Amino acid sequence: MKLYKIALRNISRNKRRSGLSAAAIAIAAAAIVFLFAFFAGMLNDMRTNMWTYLTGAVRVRHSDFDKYERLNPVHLAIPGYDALLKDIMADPAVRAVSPRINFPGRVPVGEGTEKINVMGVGVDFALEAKYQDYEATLTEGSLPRMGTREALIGRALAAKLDAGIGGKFTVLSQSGSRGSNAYTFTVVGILDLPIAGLETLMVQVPLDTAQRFLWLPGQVGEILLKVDPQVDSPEDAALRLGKGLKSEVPLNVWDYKQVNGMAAMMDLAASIYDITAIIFFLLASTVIINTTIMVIFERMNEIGTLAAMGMKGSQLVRLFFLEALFIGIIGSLTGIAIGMAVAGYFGGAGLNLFSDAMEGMDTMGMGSVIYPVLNFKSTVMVFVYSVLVTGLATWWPARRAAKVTPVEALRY
Amino acid sequence: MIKVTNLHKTYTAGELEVKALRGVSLEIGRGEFIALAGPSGSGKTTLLNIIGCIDGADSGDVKIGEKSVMNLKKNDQAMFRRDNLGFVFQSYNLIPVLTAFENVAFSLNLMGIGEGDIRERTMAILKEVGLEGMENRRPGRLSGGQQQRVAIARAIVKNPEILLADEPTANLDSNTGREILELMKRLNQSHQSTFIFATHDPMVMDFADRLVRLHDGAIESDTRR
Ligand SMILES: Nc1ncnc2c1ncn2[C@@H]1O[C@H](COP(=O)(O)OP(=O)(O)OP(=O)(O)O)[C@@H](O)[C@H]1O
Ligand SMILES: [Mg+2]
Repeated sequence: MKLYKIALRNISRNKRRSGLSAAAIAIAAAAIVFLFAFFAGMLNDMRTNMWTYLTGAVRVRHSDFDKYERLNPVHLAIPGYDALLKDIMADPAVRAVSPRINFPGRVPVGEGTEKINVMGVGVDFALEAKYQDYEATLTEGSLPRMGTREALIGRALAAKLDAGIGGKFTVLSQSGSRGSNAYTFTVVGILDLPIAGLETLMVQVPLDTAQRFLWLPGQVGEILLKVDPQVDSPEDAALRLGKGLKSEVPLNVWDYKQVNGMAAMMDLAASIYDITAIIFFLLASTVIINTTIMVIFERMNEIGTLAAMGMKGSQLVRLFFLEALFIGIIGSLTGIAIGMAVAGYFGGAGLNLFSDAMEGMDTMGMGSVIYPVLNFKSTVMVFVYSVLVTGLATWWPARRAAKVTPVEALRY
Repeated sequence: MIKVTNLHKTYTAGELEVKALRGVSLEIGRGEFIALAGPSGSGKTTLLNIIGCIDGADSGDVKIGEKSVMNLKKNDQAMFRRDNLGFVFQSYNLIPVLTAFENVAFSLNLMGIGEGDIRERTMAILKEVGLEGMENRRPGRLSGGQQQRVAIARAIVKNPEILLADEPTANLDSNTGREILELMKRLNQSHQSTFIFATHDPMVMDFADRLVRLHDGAIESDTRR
């Protein structure tokens, strides 16, 4: 009769109590699985959106641009970027590039007295088709042709401008020589963007048109690139490119965390999720500690008998420890299965938490619909920790079984 | 074989001091069938527990064989009990999740004996205590007398030096009690273990070869027959 067999049978001795312990750990595990999956989904989503629309995984700019960013230093651009693109594409980690010119602009509406802000982006649609997921976002119309004054605009912006496909609007902006300019564009496509804030601002036009508009012939304001994290982290890729790239103007090659302080904040957010997980586990532990204490008191006489028969304290502790461990394993497997099912469901269907609340807000690239993502941490690690926590929460009260003397135990 | 020398034990319960044993000395030979008798509170259980290495004394000594067992470390004491002592309790104290067979086998398991050997010895002893055919019953499905037989089998299966029994008949009717005593007497002879009882039961005293009467924690009389 092995100890573990006795421990297994002891589980069914007080089914309600074993069930309570298992449920506690299951609830904690399920909640943590979902929480981690939710957070991973959010992070993934933010990263994808940031990389695509805001910062790139790595961003190349004129090194003075950031210093004067508030003044919209359109003239601090990168000339001769064709050669630069070749060098960048030659990097083993780089998967896609997006040379851009950003130009904040204003669009008069109505009688022309009211103006709304837009964020203009000149892009090379041939490259951009590989950089952005137009198949998902371009839900109406088609891509502009290079050299024309055709534009893609966000659906929310289209509503504000009251312009559908074929509609026209005029953008006023400041050019590279610090003069003003105005171009009238025709809407050829409507974008459904994952970031509500962007959808009300975004105007995408052909890069060459933007160059003419802003008087920046042959220049781009920035080059965004995506890297394959399997090959290299954005940080390492940025470092390498920063050393290797040659240009007429000094360049800043920054990874997205350098570009956007909020992205770096996500590491902090991750630790908040970890702390939440710890709190869940602590709550579950109190239940387990409690039931273990009750079980030990209830079986005190039995502990005395076993001790009298010559069982050592360490064996007695192991007997209770194993019992709780099995309960912990059953509980955490159940919990993880539930958590995975829920996370998996929303991973497909999406969890629409923010779309109304975050309309027009800067959401740091976070989309309004979150798709939870299961990974190693949110499954295997949760299991490992659940079992570990159960073990610790049991071991502590179970030591009592070893401490009590046989006569004391037999008196119960 | 068992040599108890000048045992003292005092319990303190709050303000109150109870002298449970005041200088008990006793020698018990191998294979004896000895009853410790005396009024309630006279110290029978206390003495039995100290001999059984599950309780300590304030002073004095207990030698079993050549070994002084009083100052053993906790684990060594457990191992000593495992290898040399068997216990029978008033309320049987079987492990409820184990069958009759497993309850008995478990005490051999603890000793690290091989499975085949365990099976053989367990089946033999269960037959000897008259429980053939009931091996797979759990305690909940056995009568008090049957449970006490399992408990006795569990204690004797390892052929202990000493079998200690505290009021083993107190929860049984007199007929069942008699059967149990007859069984123990037989086992005492066939297994050459020393049997020590703490009891109120006159029938147990009748069965005993030697009767030690305690009073207020001291030996009042010691008679053999
Ligand atoms: N844990 C304890 N704490 C305090 N006093 C105790 C304790 N155990 C026993 N005593 C006291 O020690 C004395 C001897 O007790 P013991 O149990 O040895 O008597 P006993 O002869 O076995 O009695 P009984 O026939 O009732 O079983 C009694 O006065 C009892 O009250
Ligand atoms: Mg007693």
